[in-house]
Amino acid sequence: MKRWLGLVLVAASILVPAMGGGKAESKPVEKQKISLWHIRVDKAMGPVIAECVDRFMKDNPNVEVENVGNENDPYKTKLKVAMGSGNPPDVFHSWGGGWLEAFVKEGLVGDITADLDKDGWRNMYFPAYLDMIKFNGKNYGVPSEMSFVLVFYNKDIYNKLGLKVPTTWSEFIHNVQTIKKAGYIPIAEGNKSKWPGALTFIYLSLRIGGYDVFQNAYQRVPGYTFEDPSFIKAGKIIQELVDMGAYPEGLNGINYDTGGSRMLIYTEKASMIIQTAGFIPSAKTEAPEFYQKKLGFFPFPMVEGGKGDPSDIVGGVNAYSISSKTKYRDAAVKLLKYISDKTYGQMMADRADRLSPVFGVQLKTPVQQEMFKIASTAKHVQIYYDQFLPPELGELHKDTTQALFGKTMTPEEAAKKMEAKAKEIFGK
Amino acid sequence: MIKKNKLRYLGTVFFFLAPAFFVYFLFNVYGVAMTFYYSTLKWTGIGTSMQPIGIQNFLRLLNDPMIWHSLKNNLILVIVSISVQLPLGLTLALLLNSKIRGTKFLRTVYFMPMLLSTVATGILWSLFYDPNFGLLNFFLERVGLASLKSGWLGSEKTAMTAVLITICWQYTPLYMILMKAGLTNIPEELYESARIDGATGGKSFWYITLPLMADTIKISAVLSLVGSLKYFDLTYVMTGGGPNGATELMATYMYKKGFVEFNMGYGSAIAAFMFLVALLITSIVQYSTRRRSS
Repeated sequence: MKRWLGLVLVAASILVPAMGGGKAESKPVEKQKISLWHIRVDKAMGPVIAECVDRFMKDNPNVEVENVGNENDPYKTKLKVAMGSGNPPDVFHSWGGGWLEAFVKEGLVGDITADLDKDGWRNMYFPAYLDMIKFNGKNYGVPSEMSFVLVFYNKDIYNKLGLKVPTTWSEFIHNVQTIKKAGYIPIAEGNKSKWPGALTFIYLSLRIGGYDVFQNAYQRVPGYTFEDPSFIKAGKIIQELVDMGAYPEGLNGINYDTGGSRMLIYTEKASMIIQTAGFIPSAKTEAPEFYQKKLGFFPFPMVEGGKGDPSDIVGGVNAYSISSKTKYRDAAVKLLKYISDKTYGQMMADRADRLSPVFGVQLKTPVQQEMFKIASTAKHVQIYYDQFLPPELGELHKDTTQALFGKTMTPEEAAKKMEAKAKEIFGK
Repeated sequence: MIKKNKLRYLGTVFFFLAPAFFVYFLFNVYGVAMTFYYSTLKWTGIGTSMQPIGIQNFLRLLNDPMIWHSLKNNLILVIVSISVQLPLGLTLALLLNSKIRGTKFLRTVYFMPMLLSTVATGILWSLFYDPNFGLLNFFLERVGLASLKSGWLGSEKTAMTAVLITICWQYTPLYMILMKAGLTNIPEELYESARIDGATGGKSFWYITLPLMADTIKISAVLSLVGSLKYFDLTYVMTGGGPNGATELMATYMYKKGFVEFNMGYGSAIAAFMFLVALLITSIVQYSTRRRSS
């Protein structure tokens, strides 16, 4: 018996304090704690977010913000797990589109339509960008950055080879061939994470088929499918580029996120890169000399015979939403303003050359003005397919495109797979 | 009296096992059970809407060419792991056990890969394989084998081999240490008497070392087998299962379906499938080796 008693006592001494610990009284003055998850970890944008959060905390001393930066690709998983386990961040980043919609459908994203209507908050933003985060007529977030894809090039190499900025696809191909002959890699493509290569595919199908083809295929309008000749043609052009040697060896193993393909540009082994405007702040901090002296860009060239409007751009939005489960909804909504308003937009433009979809930001450099011109004259903005489509279809789009680059799938097969999956998901 | 003592003994046993069992139950048994439950649902993994759909996920699984492709990759990994890591580990262990100079230094060097975190290993080797800045292509070019240069991780033909080499590099030290421990347990007298009987190096290895190491080798093989069947990390870091599924393993495929494509029900079905495959293969191995040793 004695032995038993001893054991019970030992067990009790371990368990009891552990159980009591949770009930400790908290301090009377409660500080509201909210968390912000974003993906702005680069050296130019990270501090901008941090300073805006500080500004918010100064104006709202009763709120404490936990500012959490994440790498782009792991972020998607992290947010999903947090949402699924019922422990979501109060304010979080997204790209709008089908990915965010998956969360909206589960009722996990806060509807902020009424808040936006108050005091003309809504009028602060470019309507087209606000609409990218709108589902069933309700607003589920605010746009904080415009993002779109450009062709960046090394001005030095262009000058040395006597090349002109191309406006048409044949001029572009001519440049690619000249650059290749001179011993450079024409296009730095790091396609391990699949989305960088997809940018080229989306642009090509946008230029060839036009804005409506993809939209109609997505909405299952009769007569339109993902097997449209324009998608197949886009795939063919990509494989022609591969055959031409336009891309670095092993492009499907080079990771853009960890800098693989950017290194090719910075070291001047490669002369062009088709990337989002996010490339600019990266270059600014990673290779300042290159950024100042050699970095140029032009809009994706038009494809002869294509139906697309040459002013159309492929792009997207970086948005912030609130969780529907946040304990401090008022504070979270207020924080949305601080990380998307004019002050934020101005800081972002000044320090990272990124454009904000907010009225009234002053653009001080030619780079910014040129970018703004391209963005504001675009007739349509085609959102990145993988962010626009439901996740399963978006992933397939990236997988098939990667296989196109690796030449292990024909454009016809890729298109067929997309159409079959679309039928499965949309049921028609 | 005897019965009472026995009861008390059982009670004590249970009492001491309870905490471990509690943890095991919570994190293993419960998890496995829930996986099977989730695999019968249509569920995105983020919300509360779950529709029970019976065995539909499993039917879909059987018709999914990608899961068989992943299983094939897993089996390749099993074979390569057992046939490369174990012999190599044993060789290194024998080397460390011999009386050459500098074994302490070598032991540290050989063990190093095990000390690196998997992500660091993955990034290190990705840089090694990098087609433009990597050591491997640079080396090939310098020794005049430029024609062998390749995209390694980016090409469907070479990606799996490249990852396999890295996995072997990472895990061989583990088996080296296990084997080394096994070797230390073999009494020196056996070798001495064998030497008196005229057994040379080769013979004493075949007739003393190997039979006495059988248990260690068996444990290592099972560890390697199970580890390979549920392997995830290096492929995730180095290739993400790509390019175009060339290095897709069951675990990376499960991750992709469950966490990337918002299809937790199907992802759970893959996990359940993995569990069954691992259980089946391990049981077969256990059963067949047990028969042999008795």
